[in-house]
Amino acid sequence: MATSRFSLRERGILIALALFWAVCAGTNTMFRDVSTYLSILRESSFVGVCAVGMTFCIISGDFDLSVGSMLSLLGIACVAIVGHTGLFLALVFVTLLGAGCGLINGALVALLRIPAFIATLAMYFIYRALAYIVTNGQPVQFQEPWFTEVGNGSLAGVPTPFLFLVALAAGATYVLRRTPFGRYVLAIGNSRRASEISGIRIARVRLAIFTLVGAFTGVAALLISSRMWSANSGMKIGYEFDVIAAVVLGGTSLSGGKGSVANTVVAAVFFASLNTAMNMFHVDSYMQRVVIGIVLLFAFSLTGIRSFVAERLRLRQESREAPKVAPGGESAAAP
Amino acid sequence: MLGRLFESYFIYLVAAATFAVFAILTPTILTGANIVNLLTNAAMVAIAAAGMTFAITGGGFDLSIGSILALTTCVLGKLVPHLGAWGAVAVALLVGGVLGAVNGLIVTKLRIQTFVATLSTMIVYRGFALIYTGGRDATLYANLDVKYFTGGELLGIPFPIALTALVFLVAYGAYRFTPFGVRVRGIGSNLAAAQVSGIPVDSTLIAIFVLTATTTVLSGTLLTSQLLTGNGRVGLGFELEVITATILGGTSLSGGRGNVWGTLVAALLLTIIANGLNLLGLPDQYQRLAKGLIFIVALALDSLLRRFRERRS
Repeated sequence: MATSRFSLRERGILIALALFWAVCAGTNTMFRDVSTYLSILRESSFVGVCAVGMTFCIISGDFDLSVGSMLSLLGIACVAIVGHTGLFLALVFVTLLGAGCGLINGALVALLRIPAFIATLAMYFIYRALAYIVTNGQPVQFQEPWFTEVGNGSLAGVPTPFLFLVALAAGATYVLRRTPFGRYVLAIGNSRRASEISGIRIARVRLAIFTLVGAFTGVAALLISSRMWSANSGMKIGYEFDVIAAVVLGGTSLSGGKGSVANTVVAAVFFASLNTAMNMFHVDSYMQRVVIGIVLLFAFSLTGIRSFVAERLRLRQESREAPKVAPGGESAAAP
Repeated sequence: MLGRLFESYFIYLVAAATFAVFAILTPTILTGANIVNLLTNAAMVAIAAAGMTFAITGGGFDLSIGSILALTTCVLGKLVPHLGAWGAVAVALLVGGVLGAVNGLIVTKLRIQTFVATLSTMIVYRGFALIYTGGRDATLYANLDVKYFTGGELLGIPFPIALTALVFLVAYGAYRFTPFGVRVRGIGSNLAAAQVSGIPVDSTLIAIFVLTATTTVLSGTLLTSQLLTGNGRVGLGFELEVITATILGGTSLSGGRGNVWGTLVAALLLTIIANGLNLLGLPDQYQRLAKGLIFIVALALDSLLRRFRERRS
């Protein structure tokens, strides 16, 4: 239905973010300071980088729940080697290692054909257990400034992690919109059956998508462990929910087939703003979970509400055109 | 025929073989005290898995049960001193029923996939549990009547075992012989056909979620009785263990085919493995690794069997 480039559907999250910022700036003086917004951009990058990869995964109709545990394992690996290899090699290594983990996930999903949700749920436990086993539960640290500067520093006033995010998001947008691979991802999400018939090698594309998610998680792991100067086996529990929430709030359809990397980034900024605002308004940390869960539910139900409205409109139109035909029965969500 | 038999009873063989192996490695597993302990632990997984068998047969999932388990321990931890053990359990069942109905309403009325819906409520319900107790322990060391649920006996049988037997007899009866069971299988094997043939899909789905939540409350009651503590952080990963037991027991992920007794045996198998590894002195994290790997193997087998069946038909 979205024919206009600037439809509400495509720009909804941007408008929501602008409104939220306006309300916060009106009620809290700290939201009138540029440094608050810069800090929000920094925090949003840690979720955003991984969410860019996850956008591909969700567009293709899959999920990866293991990214939080993978992040912990990769962060530990990164901190452990960065002192020996230097920053650039550590980035290359951790990205490749992430890609390797992603490849394992992809093999379970695409080759063994285990539903993605379940396969990655199992890997969620395995990666976390491995992270614990290799460190024996102890945190690993590396505090040289040239390393911690990546997560904590700024370049020309802009937080460095956000520069990473913008660069990766731009690259990902190009891949999604302008390359055959991007078209395959969208096609698989739209109809796996039709893509198969039209000769797309589905297993290979899905394998590549999960590998991609792993690689992006690797970059996020470097940024986060640099930000914290350390990594441990208990870090970022629940990270996968933040990531998936950002993708879905950004309007990527859970049933696959459509989505936008740019909106994912805006949604990540929105969540970072929500967290900052809840801290500034002294919302209890347990209550924050409940709020985030409810925002999530709202985001997930957007697709359902939209199709419900569309169906009602269609039914009304049909009954107007052919008043004698009884409307179809109630239908429920596919479980 | 032989393949079919092998497929149905494979899990029993695996459970027996595993038990035999551990019996050789650590004879402690055979002591009476350990067996009662083992069966009590198995009961916690098995009872919740009985509910989950209906959810997965119906083509859905409930990921929020770990949080419902935590909330149950909190409700009991807070209320047993005021209402007594049975009164508090009644309240917990009510709370569980309401939360399950909320899950069901979200799935059917907001039309969110069960996975994602229960993923969100998993976060929210755990938030409730933590808010309710302020993140602290609610201990019951002065209220030993709760101990009946793990230490007591019903008709001469240890209570957890009697409860498990009761739950599974009812679950099997409901699955096999009631209209509800037929509807669940119908929805799971073909949702569109179920709708067209007039099955009340929405109310059946809501009932399924009430069932998973209330069976989890029963598991939570046993857990509280064992720990004598309510805490909002217990039961992390409980949903995974329960889903593993259900799938390992032969309930197909693609829906429509459940196996109630298989679920019971698989829950027992998982507990035997955990108990055996414990007695062998393997640290907690290695056990988690082992469980994750077993889960993957079970899923791979399930998917291979499914493909085999498709090819044959």
